[in-house]
Amino acid sequence: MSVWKTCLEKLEGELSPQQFNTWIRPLQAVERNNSLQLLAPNRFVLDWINEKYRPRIEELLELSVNGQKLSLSLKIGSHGVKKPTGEHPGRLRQTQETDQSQSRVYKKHPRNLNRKFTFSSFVEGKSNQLALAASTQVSENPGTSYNPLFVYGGVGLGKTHLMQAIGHSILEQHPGANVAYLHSERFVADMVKALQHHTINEFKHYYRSLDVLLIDDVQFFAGKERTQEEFFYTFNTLLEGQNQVVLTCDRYPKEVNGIEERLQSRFSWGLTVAIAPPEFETRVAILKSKTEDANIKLPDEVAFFIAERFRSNVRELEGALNRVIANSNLTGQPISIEFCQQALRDLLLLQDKQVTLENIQKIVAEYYKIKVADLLSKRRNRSITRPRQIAMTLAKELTNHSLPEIGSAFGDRDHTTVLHACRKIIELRKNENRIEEDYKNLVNILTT
Amino acid sequence: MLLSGRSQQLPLTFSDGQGEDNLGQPSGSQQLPLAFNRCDVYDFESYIPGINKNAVDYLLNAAKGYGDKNIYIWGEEGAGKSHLLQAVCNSVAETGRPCVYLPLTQISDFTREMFSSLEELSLVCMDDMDEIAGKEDWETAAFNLFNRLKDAQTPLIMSSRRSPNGSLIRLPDLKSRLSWDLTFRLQPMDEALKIAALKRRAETRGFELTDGVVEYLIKRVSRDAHNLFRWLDRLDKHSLIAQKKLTVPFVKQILEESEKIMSTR
Repeated sequence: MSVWKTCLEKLEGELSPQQFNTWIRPLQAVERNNSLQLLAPNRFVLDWINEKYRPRIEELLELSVNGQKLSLSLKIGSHGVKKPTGEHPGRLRQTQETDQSQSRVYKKHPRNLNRKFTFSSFVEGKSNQLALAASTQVSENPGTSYNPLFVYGGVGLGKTHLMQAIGHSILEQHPGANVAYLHSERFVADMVKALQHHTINEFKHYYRSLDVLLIDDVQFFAGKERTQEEFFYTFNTLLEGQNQVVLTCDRYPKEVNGIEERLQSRFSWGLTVAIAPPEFETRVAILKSKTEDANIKLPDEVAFFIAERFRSNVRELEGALNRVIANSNLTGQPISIEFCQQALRDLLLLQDKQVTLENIQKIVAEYYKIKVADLLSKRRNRSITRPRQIAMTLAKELTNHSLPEIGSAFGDRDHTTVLHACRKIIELRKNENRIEEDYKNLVNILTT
Repeated sequence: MLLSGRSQQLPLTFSDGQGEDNLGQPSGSQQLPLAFNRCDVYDFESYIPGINKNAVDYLLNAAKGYGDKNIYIWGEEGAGKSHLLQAVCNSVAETGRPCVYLPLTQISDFTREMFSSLEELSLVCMDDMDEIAGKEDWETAAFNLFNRLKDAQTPLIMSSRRSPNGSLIRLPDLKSRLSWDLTFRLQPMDEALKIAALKRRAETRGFELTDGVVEYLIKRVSRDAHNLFRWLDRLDKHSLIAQKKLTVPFVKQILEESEKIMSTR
């Protein structure tokens, strides 16, 4: 067994599971003859390990190699054993770098295009027609039709999808093109890193030599003046060289606070198009297209059912569909409206319902048309005791309160009274339909 | 001997950073046993899925590296969210791949640098998303991590006490992403399941929890799973110190003592 593995086993026994999962699991080990190198994903983990665990790790290493000297080194990095098998499917091949120094820094995150986001998988509708047409135009005539193309709209409407589709399409036509897709925060992070490592010139060179730059969510540039300045120059250089820039944002350029005016005005130099929430027909079409891709039969009435209920954005719609498919895969049941109602129950709830003792008392009293005070009173006629027993049973089943707590919430009763009530109700539910029905109704009212 | 087979661990120098639970702690000059129990295992085997089988199946698949879908599990405290997320980490690690478990309850100890480059790992678990809700910097950091993970097709498993709709996350970009792939509600354990879980935990620690003792306990204390497990800890400690088996009269005595401690506070 490798030295590190032995060491891991010991550490696992010594640390709490949480500590072990948080700090030790992300480490990757490289063992050579007389040395062990541990790779941490970032500086924070590295420092933490150095400070808290390194001495113990060194001790354990010494023990496991019988006092032989094994040198331990820690650094930031990864040797890329992400997936258990096969190649990383989503990554397209690397951008052809023109310059060694630049490839060293930026090779790590080339185009970043998600293979699923293409024009053919984009569902057209009234709400996105214009944005789609403009994107197609741009992909056919990059740099010359609309530059920059600025697509704006709320979350989960397909801005990223369109933008990446442009990237894919340009690459299909010009396989050698230098295309980069990145989120605006990535641009900021890259720049900060470049400033720290004194590689700002490489940074500038890289971004200014792209053929196509796709930047997502530019609203996150707000308030970051240094980044805005750098982006301003990058942007100008690219536009002057007729290289395509595509930007997305959650609102109209002029409405983004914290962005310099000169940048705002440049955002709208080319074409600004909005993308709106999909209307009913488009939502149905999206569901249909998604299920076709997955080879699943989605009956029309079910598509209508889901489309009617998830209106605000495509992400929500896809989440609902994913849930239905997952449930159907697991249970083997056909997808019907009833099935969807069940599967989507909690996604359809607007707010999480909290079941409290007060709530139970209130609902039960209302249900039986008595007063909450009666439930808590000492009165012992049947019309009060049954509801009281039902309420106590509901409290036991639906809350985590202890039996003594439940007892005391019901007019300072003993926990044995609660137990008696629960036994009684279990028995009655078996023998009296009326009670069973009441009980079920109450559970429903309280939990949905 | 009563305690044979139970591994007595050596005290350690690592500090857990978590508050120690003193309620019901034996007092006086008795020697205190260890701060936390090393025998507890958070893997799939020690989790009893019950009605949560769907969610567990999908989490298992994610841990094995099938699919690149993110999973958001939510449910009330004590439903087993942290247990499951750590079980996922365990499974991923078994195949020799690196992963990380981020307990967001502890972000006060972290800087946002903690999130950087995690997309290089095989899988990331974020426990207690509620903890970053309303903290603008952390929400943005989580949003950025989310995007980087998505780009790198590294699955992210999240947990929360709230449904994606009911989440208090303010950044709409992040909130809308919560329910994008797969969401599961973890149903709380029913009483039978809680009893089974308590017994299983006791078993892994090497002692027996009789039906009588469990029933006695569950009728008298708050029945959320966390509290029940805390009680299991306490009973275990008392039993170790007193070198006595856990019987109903002994447990009764422990409960009464702890009530006294509570009332004098």
